[in-house]
Amino acid sequence: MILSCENLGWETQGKEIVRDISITVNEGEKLGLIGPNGSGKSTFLRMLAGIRKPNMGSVYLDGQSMTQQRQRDIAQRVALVEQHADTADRISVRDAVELGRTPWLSALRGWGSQDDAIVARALTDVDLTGFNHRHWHTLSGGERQRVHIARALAQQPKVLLLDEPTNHLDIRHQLSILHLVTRLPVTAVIALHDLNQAMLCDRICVLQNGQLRAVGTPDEILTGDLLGEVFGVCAHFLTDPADQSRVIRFHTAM
Amino acid sequence: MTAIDRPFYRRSHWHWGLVVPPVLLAALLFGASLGETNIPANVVLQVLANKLFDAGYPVDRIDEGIVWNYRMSRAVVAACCGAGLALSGVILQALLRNALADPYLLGISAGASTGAVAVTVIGLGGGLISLSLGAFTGALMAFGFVALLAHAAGGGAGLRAASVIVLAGIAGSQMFNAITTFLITKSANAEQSRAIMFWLMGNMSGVRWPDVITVVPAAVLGVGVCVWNTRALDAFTFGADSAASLGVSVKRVQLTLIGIAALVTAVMVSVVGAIGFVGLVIPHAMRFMVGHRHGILVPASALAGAVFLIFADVISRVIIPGQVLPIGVVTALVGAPVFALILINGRASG
Amino acid sequence: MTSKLITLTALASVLSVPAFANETAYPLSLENCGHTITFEKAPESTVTIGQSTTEILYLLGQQDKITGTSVWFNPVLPAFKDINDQIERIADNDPSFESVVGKKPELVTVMYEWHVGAEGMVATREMFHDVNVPTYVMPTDCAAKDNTVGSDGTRSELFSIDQLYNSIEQLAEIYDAQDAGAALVRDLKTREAQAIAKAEALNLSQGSSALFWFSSADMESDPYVAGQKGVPAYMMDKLGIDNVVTSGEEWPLVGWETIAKADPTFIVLAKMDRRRFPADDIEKKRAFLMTDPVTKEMSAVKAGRIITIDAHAMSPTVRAIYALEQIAEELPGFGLTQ
Repeated sequence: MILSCENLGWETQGKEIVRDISITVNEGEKLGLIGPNGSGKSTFLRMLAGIRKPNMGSVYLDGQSMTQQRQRDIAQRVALVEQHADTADRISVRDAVELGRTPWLSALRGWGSQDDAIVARALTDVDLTGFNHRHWHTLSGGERQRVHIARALAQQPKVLLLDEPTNHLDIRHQLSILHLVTRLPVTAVIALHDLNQAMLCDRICVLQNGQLRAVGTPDEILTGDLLGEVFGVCAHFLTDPADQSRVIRFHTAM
Repeated sequence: MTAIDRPFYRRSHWHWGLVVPPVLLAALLFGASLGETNIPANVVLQVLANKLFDAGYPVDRIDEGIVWNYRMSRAVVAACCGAGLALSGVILQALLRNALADPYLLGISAGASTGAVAVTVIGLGGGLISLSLGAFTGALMAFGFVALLAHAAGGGAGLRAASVIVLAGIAGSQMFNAITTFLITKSANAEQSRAIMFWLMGNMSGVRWPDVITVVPAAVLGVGVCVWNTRALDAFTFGADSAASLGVSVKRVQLTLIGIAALVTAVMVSVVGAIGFVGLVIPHAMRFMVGHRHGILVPASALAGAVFLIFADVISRVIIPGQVLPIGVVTALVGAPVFALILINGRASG
Repeated sequence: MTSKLITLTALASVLSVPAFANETAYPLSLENCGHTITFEKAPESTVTIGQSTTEILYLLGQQDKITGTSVWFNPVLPAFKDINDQIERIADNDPSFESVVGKKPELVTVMYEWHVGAEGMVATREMFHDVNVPTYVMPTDCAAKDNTVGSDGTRSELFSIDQLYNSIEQLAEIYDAQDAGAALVRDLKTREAQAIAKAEALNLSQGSSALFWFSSADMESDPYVAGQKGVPAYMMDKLGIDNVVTSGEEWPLVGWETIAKADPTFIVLAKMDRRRFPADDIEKKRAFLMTDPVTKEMSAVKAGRIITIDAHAMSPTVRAIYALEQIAEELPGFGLTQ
């Protein structure tokens, strides 16, 4: 039990954004997080990352409540890749990825050669070798997303939390990011909009109105009934003749 | 591009130890050598030798007093104020993710003017409180007001918190400026308001060694806190949430760093008035020259701020013979074109 | 053009000093600081804005025509304390426009254009004229002086005491008190001439110089000192003394470094009741000169050549003549004779 939460809830200005979620993330698994807009996915991920303090319930990291842990200790084990994290600073790719070492460094523990190695490794993992000196503002959306993932990897986390990592990317980059994440040797929780992509996860949990509606394997979750109730769409399941995998097609009419 | 050649600086902050002292000493010597009147370089050196090493050269007492008590103390204070204001700018621009943030954003200069006016015009404190103490108290009160307002408006961490602080700062500044105007309109005459406006533009002329004792700890505090927190400041590159996910205690860092920036600025403003431009422009200029990483930006900004203000003070005293210009006018007049040049060059090369 | 006209008028009135009682012929028209003002009769009620005009009217015996005073720098001349206590003081500093107009004065007399002038703090002259309240501005503040340049205005030539005499004579004419005016001017001119003669007799060495220190915003900061063309400059000119300050502004800020290196022969300090800055206090001024590591080495300070005069004497007032007298009297004590 590496990461779990119990009765997790968060409200702002009298509105409950997340309510009573309890779930355990298994070590090494890729957990997909789906739900309509406003279902609380981002808030939930932020609480799992220890950035947003829950109003109710607790998040447990390595069996210990996060509220009792220092931000720095949490960041050594959990990394978050946000949506739309941007900067106007003129920094290089290398600068951005080096930020991932922050939780491991201090005024007394300076930069060392092992940090160089970890950063180089993270850049290789996301296929950005040779991008060291490129400026952030010259990168494409896909490249930026990969830099963010490299930065998260440089944190050497046990758990990687990704908030819609394929958003705004062209299809090739969507696939390459997803492929990259699923093959990484870490536990990952990935918020996704594309339900076909969610099928690549080991398990999927479904949020609706801030509550945990269901959790299970893709086959258990991605059913016509559930998708109809949660997303208000009509789903048909086809089989891709290329690799015999299941593909979902959607219609608005019920 | 030095900004990119990371290995050059990353592993070693130690070389700043080699760059800063000689440059700073040269700038101080420059400050001691030039002034309203012409004192030969050898006399200046003799005075410094007398004061620092008890060399016992026979020098004119007036020259000695001018070089040591006027110019040297002023150069040291200028250096401290320059460094302190520049670093306050670095902190606020980094934490608030706002390129236009400067130390006076937190209502400090507005509060300082209210305090100064309350003391000089209303006669608050019955002549026992100096202009400086009044300004300092006013600055802290204004910052306290802005902090309370920002806290009450809430917003937690993140972009919203940053904009709440900026908005609270604007509201606080407006309110304290209004109080100042009210006090002036109610009780002051044109001559008084003019004197206060002059003082507010920044004025190094009244600076003496006792002021050094006030500003040096403030500057050391500012530099120390910034150096200690360079990585935390870096972590805000992608915003407060990103900083939190990198293990930075965002609330604590924002509270302590902004608080210390406010305190340092309040001390500087109370001693020399609200010298503009340094806190806004020096950090930007240094970003263009050495890059955005705070490991190099912090020492570079501190040094550049110190040297810039020493030069600005000298220029303010020599540009019109026999008369002194407010130093704030010089920082803006000299700083703006220099900044424009850096901007243009930065765009061309980057 | 205006200044020429005024000088001519002044000259005319000086030349026509009569041996017998001289009555003003109304209607009386005057050119005054770019405005033409006309009086059908002597004003029965007046509001004064500026201590100098207030005291000149007292000296002319016109106190019963004054219904309100404002803009006070120092206590009234001792001789007029009882009179002054009977008259309402509208404001210590700038009065508001309505508080002046509310008195329905037949004339408002003004010392400085920054109170009533193109950018007047109280009002513009037009605003007063629009409500049929005539204004008179002392020519001391407009003749050969541009109040739009420099923070206290800038004179294009050295202040001429004739402008003060001109102000007195014009006010005397307006109030039909020409005998009193002529007597006052005669008295002041005699005292001025005596002071100058006294100073000349000292045979001061060439290059004797002085500094007139008004106040400073902060005790140690650059002081406000008298420039090259104001009233103190007139005094120095008459006494044959150089001003160590070279600026042409009325009250420039000059660094102590410059002053100390110029090393004036003696220093004149302004004494005032105002307590806005620490340096307003004459004792604090003295203490600073004695203790500051640079100023205490100045020869004037070492030899104790320091004179204290009324701060208001450094402005265009009758007190300027009194101060001129006082300086001429104190100078011999310094042993500066060649």
